[in-house]
Amino acid sequence: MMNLNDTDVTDHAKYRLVGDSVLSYRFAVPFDERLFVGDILKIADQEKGNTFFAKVTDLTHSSNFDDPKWDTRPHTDRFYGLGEDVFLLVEAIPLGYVDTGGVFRKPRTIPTKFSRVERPAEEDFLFLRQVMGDLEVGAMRTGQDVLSGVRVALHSRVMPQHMGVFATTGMGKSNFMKVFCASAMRARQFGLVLVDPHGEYVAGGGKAAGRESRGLVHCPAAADGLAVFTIREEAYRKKYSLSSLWLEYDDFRAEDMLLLFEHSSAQREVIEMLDDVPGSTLVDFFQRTEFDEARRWVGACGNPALAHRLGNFAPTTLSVIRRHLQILVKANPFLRARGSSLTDMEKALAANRVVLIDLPGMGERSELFILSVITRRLLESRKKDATGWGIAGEGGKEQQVLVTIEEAQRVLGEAGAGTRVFRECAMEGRKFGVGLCVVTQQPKNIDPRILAQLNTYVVMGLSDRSDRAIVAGHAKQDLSPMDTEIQTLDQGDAIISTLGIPFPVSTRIHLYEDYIRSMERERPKPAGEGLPTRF
Amino acid sequence: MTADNYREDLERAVGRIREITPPDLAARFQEHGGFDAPSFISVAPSWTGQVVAIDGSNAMVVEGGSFSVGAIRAVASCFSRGTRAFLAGTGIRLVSIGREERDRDFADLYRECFGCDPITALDDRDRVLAASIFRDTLEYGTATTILEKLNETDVILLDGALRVSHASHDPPISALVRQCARKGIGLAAVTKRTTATWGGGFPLVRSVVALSARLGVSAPWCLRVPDNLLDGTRYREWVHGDTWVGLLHPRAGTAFKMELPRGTTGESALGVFSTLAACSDDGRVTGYPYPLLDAHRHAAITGDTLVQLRQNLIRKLDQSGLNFSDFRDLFGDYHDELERY
Repeated sequence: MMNLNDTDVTDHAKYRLVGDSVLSYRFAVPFDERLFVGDILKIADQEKGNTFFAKVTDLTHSSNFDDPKWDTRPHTDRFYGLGEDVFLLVEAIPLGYVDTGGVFRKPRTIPTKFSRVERPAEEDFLFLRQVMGDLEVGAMRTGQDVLSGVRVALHSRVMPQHMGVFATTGMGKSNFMKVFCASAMRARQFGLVLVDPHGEYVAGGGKAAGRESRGLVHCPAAADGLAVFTIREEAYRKKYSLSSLWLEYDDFRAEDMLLLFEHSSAQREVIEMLDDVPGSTLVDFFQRTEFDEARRWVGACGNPALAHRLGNFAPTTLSVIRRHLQILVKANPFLRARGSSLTDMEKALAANRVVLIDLPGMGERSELFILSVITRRLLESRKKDATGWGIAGEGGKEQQVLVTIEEAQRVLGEAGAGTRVFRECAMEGRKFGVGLCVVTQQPKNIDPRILAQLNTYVVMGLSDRSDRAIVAGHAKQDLSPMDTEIQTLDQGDAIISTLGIPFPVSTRIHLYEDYIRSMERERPKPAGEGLPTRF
Repeated sequence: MTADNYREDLERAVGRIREITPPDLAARFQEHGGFDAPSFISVAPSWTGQVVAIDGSNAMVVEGGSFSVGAIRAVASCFSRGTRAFLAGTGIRLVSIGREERDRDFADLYRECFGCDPITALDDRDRVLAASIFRDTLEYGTATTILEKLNETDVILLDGALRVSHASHDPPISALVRQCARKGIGLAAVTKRTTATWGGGFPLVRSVVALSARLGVSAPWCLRVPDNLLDGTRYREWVHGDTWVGLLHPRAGTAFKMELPRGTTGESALGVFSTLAACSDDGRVTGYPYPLLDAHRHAAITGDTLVQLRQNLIRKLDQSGLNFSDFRDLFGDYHDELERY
């Protein structure tokens, strides 16, 4: 009688690295494995002693069958022993590896072939603490799961190198900005300017995820880290200890009007001629002068130097400028002849506080006007004081400011004279410690030269293919293999690519309300807490 | 050859094909066999027991003008109620095929499989046939061994036919049929591509399928085809099975010729066909008993395996003192050179 041996059907091919490149890994897993795009997996290289990490970028059905189209002709829904021949082929990109000394390194080498692929535990990510910064924004996400013990934090030192926040409506942009502000208030490593035309950041109040949202004033770090300048009525200001917002005429320049109104070439010439004229002089001159066809105004006006400069322009051109100035003054109730909050804002920024400019009910023009004024002021003052390597703050430390521009495609799109100050800031602000936080739903409408200047990308779900392509193509770390993940990001999830963190990190952004509660718990208790409060 | 010659050849080939597939094939077959709708037995799929499919594979590892080494393997795959119960096999065996009238390895393998000497030696002069007989020996040996593990209502399923192609296989097949009958174990062989014809060349399976359609018979069904309807078989004494044709699933694209041991009664046959229909519902090979595909996949000696076997042989020859030049003289094939161009 002959001997028959049991055939070993144990599958040794699954969870073994078979990729053939430093930049892309591949391995097979059972066809019913619950794996997701964005999952981070560990590859234990027993031969070299390194532990590699890789992020899943794609999952495809595959099989051992010779006919690759076998699955297009099933006649029934029954498949015997399917798992032996049908499997999922996993594509992953390397994130880096931890060497035998426990140091995380960029993926410049490849794991030994057939190295075991495993699901990492939270403790496997402890090395990430080495590379995280001081501006916590969320927890690391792997596929569908959140590693609550692995906090994702940006580095405040890279903020002047500009940041981009890209998200379509409803993806959690406002929540991210509030969390970012809260961390900035706690870290106090740079000043942050935020203009809010909707009045949602100060004290919240709207609905967020079905719950009452809270504002920046509710953050435990707000007492020391927040300065709010608002146009709201006194009672509200007193309730939350807010400052009144005022700008004086001398805060603005004629060029600000280029940003706010459409102009003909002749009108632009007028504005350029007035570039060095203080705002108060402009208001005074244009309010008092009637530009008649006979040019009698040239001899009659009280500012002969200015009249001489503008005398050759058509009265209709000058009348348009006058009308625009009137609109500017009338539409912005915070603009007055004397008395400005700008100095206080600069002081708050110098003290590394978050400066929130609260303009509820104001229009786009007011928002852009203030942004333009503040950005120019910051740039000009810093250029004046620049040592060439940034602005020396207290203790000789470089003082940094980040200016947030919401819907940034309005001012950072195609080149225009009115957006000069923002473009200048994007191009050379880093030298002077002034960075831009570019927030937009349409990165494809941002000038690519400006996108190239951004060193931190926070991508929160972009449904438009060309938007994703633009973002992936300009980020310092290549995001193109993560296209599927970006496309499928849930609300509140982000992919963060920034200097200091060696790979793009999938992040579940903290819910602001939960985050400030956790900050509350972490806050040192007052020395007197628990003592009797009365005799 | 001119274009006219080619066109004539093409016409002739098509004409021959049309001759054996006339539009009234079903009617002719019905008249020839005296069949009617009740002749077809309706089959209800049912797992009455285990199904053990046995399949073998053979391939040449090296092939010279005067000497070849072949690889053979047989596998038994057992399924019970849709799940594999076990998978066992012989492992790969190597056999030498020279230009001898009495192959030396054959007797050894035969004894290993059946515990006795073959009644007829294996003539190596037709090496392709010799290799297939080696494979069949291993398959029948596997079936004989597996039989010990099985119980009443289980079914042994062979790939091919219950018909031997070498006299030495007659005793073991006869014994297998007898023992299956004694233990109440079903035995069937499924032919993937049959040569069976009737009426002087009409294809059998196509005729039966056409007839079932003509009579409106719903699958699954089976039909016993009497021997006297079929065109002649060369060695009737080597045939151990009755001929059946079965369509085992309503969505099956193909019917198969099957053989059950001679004299299998209708009730026993129905039990076997019910079990076969039950395991013929796989979405990939609907209508074909899946255990046979499983056995086939695990028995197949693939190109990769052959390369490995060839390298093992070369390494061993090298250790024995034979150099590559000797190897090339023995087993070199100038076709390989030609294939470069």
